[in-house]
Amino acid sequence: MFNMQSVARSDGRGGPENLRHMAWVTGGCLLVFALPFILETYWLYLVGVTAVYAIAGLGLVILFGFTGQLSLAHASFFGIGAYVSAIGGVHYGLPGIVTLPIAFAICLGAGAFVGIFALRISGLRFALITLSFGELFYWASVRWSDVTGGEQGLYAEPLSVMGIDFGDPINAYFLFAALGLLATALCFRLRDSSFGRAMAATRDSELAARSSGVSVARTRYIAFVIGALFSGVAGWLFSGHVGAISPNFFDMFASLNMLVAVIIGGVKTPLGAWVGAAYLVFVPELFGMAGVSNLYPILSGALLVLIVLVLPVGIVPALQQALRHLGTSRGDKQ
Amino acid sequence: MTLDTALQLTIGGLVSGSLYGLVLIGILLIYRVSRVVNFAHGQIGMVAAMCAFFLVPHFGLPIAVALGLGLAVAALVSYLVDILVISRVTKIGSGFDLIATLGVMMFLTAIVELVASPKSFKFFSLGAQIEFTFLGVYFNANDLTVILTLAVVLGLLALVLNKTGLGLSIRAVAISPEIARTTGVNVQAVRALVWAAGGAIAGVAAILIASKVTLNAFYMTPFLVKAFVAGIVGGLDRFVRPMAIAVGLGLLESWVVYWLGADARIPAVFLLIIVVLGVLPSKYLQDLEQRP
Amino acid sequence: MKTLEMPLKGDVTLNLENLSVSFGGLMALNDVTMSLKPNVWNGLIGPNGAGKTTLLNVLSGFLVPTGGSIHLGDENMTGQSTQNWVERGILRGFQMPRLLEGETVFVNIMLGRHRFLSSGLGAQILRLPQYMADEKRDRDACMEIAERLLLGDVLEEPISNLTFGTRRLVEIARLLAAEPKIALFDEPAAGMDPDLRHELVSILAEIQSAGKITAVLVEHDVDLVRRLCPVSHVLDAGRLIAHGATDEVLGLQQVQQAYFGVDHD
Repeated sequence: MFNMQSVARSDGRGGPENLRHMAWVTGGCLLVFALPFILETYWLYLVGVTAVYAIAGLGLVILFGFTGQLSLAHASFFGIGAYVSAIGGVHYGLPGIVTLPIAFAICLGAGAFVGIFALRISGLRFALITLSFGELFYWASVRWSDVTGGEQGLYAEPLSVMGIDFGDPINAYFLFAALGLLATALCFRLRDSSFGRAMAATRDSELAARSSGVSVARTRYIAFVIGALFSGVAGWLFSGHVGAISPNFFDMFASLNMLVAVIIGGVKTPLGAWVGAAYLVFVPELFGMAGVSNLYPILSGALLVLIVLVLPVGIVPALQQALRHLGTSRGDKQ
Repeated sequence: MTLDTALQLTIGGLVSGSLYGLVLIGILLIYRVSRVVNFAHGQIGMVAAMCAFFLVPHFGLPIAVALGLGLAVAALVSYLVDILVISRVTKIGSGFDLIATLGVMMFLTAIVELVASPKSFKFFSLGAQIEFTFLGVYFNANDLTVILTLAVVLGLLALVLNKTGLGLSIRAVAISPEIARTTGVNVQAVRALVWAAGGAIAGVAAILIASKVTLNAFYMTPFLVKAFVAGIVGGLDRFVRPMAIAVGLGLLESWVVYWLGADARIPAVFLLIIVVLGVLPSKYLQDLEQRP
Repeated sequence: MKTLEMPLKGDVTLNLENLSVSFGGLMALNDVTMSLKPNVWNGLIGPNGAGKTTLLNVLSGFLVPTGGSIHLGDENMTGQSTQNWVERGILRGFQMPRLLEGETVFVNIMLGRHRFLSSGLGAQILRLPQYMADEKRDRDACMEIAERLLLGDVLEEPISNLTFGTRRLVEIARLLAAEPKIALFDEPAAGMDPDLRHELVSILAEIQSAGKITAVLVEHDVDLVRRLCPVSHVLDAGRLIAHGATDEVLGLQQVQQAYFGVDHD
């Protein structure tokens, strides 16, 4: 359904592959609808947090995985969304339906401004620029305590959009599932579009891109703004869902964690953002349940090294490869 | 403002700038021979300080011996990071090396946090109590040690790189490991040596920094960030320019804190980075990424 | 192949006048004047460091000349961006194939169609009919080219799995997918194994004899130049030392001296 590239050959092979895609998508939908009736409230809440981080992660997939730009300000855009939602609710009593477009507009503006640097600067120097903006954002969120609550942060009201209370876990779940799927579909479509090829060219070979007429600067710029928007919307969802935010959620380490998560999941595929987000949310939880939460950071570092050494493509593409391998070997036996 | 204050600020800035520089040296050396941006560099140094700090009470070692052992451990850790991780990663493809050093950084941080518990400690003062005033400017032995250490390390490095056969080998590997290998240079040994030396220098930096701040698993982060700022703005494949920027950053911070207060330090530094990179002519931006 | 609205035939002359490029004090191109006639294949030969690749870089917008001018018909192309060169249908290949290592062969070839894109990002994401029609047209064109260049069976392979020769074919396929008016080849057959090379040369010969595009062929293999290019230009140390019918040019004493180091007393 999402993947157009793989049906490039319309000569026969497209048929069964389409069917398989349909099966996957149907199964996925069934699971999405069944989950709230299987899981306890707390786990449902965690699934919601996963969806939030997945949406932010999708932004990184577009930015880093598709276009090859390293951003250390991703958590800052997440923070902009979160603070707009929380400040709007706490200080001005604004409902979510109003704060969302505001968060969107501010992230668009901020992304469009920081993105200007991406027109000319790439690689590590661009990462440094984003780090600098991230540090400024963190500094401001601590210093401007009248509004942001300083280091203590803010309590945020649960989202309420058009009379529907998303403080209710099942309502929240469906909102997050819907937005998560929408963001995922958007990400797949971007990848498989002409712009997706321009992004890949920008990432893999600037010479190939330019000699095919792709504007590298423009591609970088648009990808950066889209990434910022994904992260901002995710942040907007985050504050209402989690209920309390503080600057720690949005500092350099938060940006690095998001990056680590998508790399572990698989940075070139939208599904990798989901696996990465699930890792970010559930693995610490499981360590906590086992009473060894202090071992989680060690695992995190070691796993990152291991992934880079053994599965540099990330978990999702490795699984896909394994599945495909399984499929063909079974086919051979028949 | 009196001349005394100006001198005092300059000395203070030189000291923190020298610390940034000391952290940066290892990063530049390692980048030279292996083209890897080592995010774990600061934490490798931290291992030296932590080792020394816990060796003294547990084994009753004299401080100097403990510091020496700490440096040896940092050198070993740095060497192992290259052998076990980096040298394997770079074969897979570009870009992954950065992520791998990030993983190593997280791993080392977590281990130290686990072993040392997430508390903060007061490290050895290393001469901070020896104070004197000269020309109306206040000095302590610790500050002077920092500046002297940077001078000595730089001097030794210049000597080794420019006057010895080893230095020649290092420079050859920096230009091209393949060509160096064909001329009989033991590339692996050179790499190992540079990583170990880089780790030891990181240890020196981390020990000096530890004597000035509270010791915990994260105390190196702001220093590592400043070192990277200097390295990336100045160009990781250069030497003089990034080192000058590192020292300059220290001076800038010192003056900004005096004029605008401690709160202004972070915005001043990072705004400056944004402005400098934003207006720098393109030709200064081209040394780093354009390599094949 | 479905034809597009824009003129496909190489019916405009590219004129280079007194073109110079200097790096610091070094003159990589020195006062080069030549004209590339429509639908003619031009050999560009000369020893290493003669400025051949520099000339291709100038003719694709990768380098801005320090002196002289370039005109495509009446249009001044001097110092135009790569994008503008590509938009005019002037496309180049590279000595080392430049490909998207993380993508499939098909995606790489499709990249060549980028210049025919008429839809915005919104239309692409919403998959509006116009975009989907363009996409289908581009896909069909790419499939046809891929088949012709023997890439039909590896379309879904990632580039990193391919041999050097196949990578070169992919780059040429990308270049052809862009339907160039003027194609600039930088040693297209170098480093390929004999079988693949034979195939490639016959494909190039086929394109050449169809007479629909202008080409510049940088090549060390004189026989290949003889076969594909009726006209040749010889560069030596940045200067154009000879040009004309390939056979005559190659027979010139000064060319043999510069190129082959043969000294006729």
